[in-house]
Amino acid sequence: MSRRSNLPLPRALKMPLRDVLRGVATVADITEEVLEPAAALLPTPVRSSFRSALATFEEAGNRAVTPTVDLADIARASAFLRGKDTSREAVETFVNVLAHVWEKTRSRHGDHTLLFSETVAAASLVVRQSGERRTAYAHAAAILTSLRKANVASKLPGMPVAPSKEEQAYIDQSLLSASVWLLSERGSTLAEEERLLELAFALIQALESDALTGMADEKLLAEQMKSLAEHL
Amino acid sequence: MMNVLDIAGDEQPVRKSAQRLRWFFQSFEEQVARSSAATNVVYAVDQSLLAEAFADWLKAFNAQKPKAAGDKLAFVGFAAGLMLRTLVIKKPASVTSMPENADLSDPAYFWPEGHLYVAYCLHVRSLVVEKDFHGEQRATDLLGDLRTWWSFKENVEEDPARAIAFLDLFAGEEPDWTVPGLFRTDNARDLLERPAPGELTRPAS
Repeated sequence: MSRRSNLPLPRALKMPLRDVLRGVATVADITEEVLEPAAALLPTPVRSSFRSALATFEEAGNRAVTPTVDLADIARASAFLRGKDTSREAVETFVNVLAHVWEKTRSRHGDHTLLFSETVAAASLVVRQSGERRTAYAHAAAILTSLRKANVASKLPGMPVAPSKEEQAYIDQSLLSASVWLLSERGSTLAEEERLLELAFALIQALESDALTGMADEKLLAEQMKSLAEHL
Repeated sequence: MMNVLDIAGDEQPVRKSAQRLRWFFQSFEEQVARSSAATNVVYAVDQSLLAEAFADWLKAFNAQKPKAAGDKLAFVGFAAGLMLRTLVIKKPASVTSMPENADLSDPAYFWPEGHLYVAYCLHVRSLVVEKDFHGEQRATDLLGDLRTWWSFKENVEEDPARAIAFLDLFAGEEPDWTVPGLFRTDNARDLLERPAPGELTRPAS
């Protein structure tokens, strides 16, 4: 059951704080699962209060960690991915959009406790700016490779903790879907953009392992991203 | 929103638009609405299966896409047949309700899902032929012939590739019943239909 939280939260949280809250929301989720057998032993009023507290944490966390994006943000994130705008602001917007995509796809398709860190993602992208000239798709493939190498999404983002095969496939599908969506022709409304993002995810899921073959080869990845974006 | 089955692609050829998932979803949804309005059959569409159908179709399409410009028109019919084959395999649509007293001798009620898929593929095929190639798709009475539909259903259950030949039949074209899943250009057909060397007749002296 959904309960409205009264926790006072600022409208726009800074990146590291969103990362912290994203962890809190996930921990609340895990805690309830882990304590489920023990909860049955508690008296009903105590059990109810305990669950309410966790639900409040989880809901507040989820609300605060899903950044709102608009059409201008999506356009700027797309420009960054294509290498047309490499400013620091564009990096932040791109990462913000990725976090939005992560939470959207997680709520619809993900049944896991993987976290996405905006801070780790931004740090990896700011460091990697090289000024080298390349095509939009080659640039996008390099960005995606950087994000993967930095472990921006995992149980412990930024740490060299190897995810399971299934977790890695989900992480790759999510990052590739977001990239393909940003590289494709823009929608004219936010609703259309949300629909295109869903379609990108559906297309990459439908292609299964075929879509992820390029992950180990940046040149092949660029070609795949071009083809997928054109067919979205 | 724009109705894609009523108009040509506004900026690019219809055959190019049809290779995009966004266009495919929108046009298929429009076809479902049209078919439902015409027959009062209500369908549910599984979006994941629809995406899988598109992905499979795209792979098959790219694997056989001809390079020669002269083969492009012939490939339109084949590509539409490939789509029918994929839809028949993936089955993204299912009937959730039929009108009471539906006449089961009418193909639209005999096999509603198949009827929906054929209507969609013929619609897109005619759109590409008319808008991109200034041609015309022929009308055929076989679309309303129950015996043909009975044969169609039975054949594609046995071998979905036969859907390609049946779509040609429904579009008033000559079907290739021997190897329906293989696109053959006119040149290749000519070569295959030539008599074997042993059958050559002696040239007149």
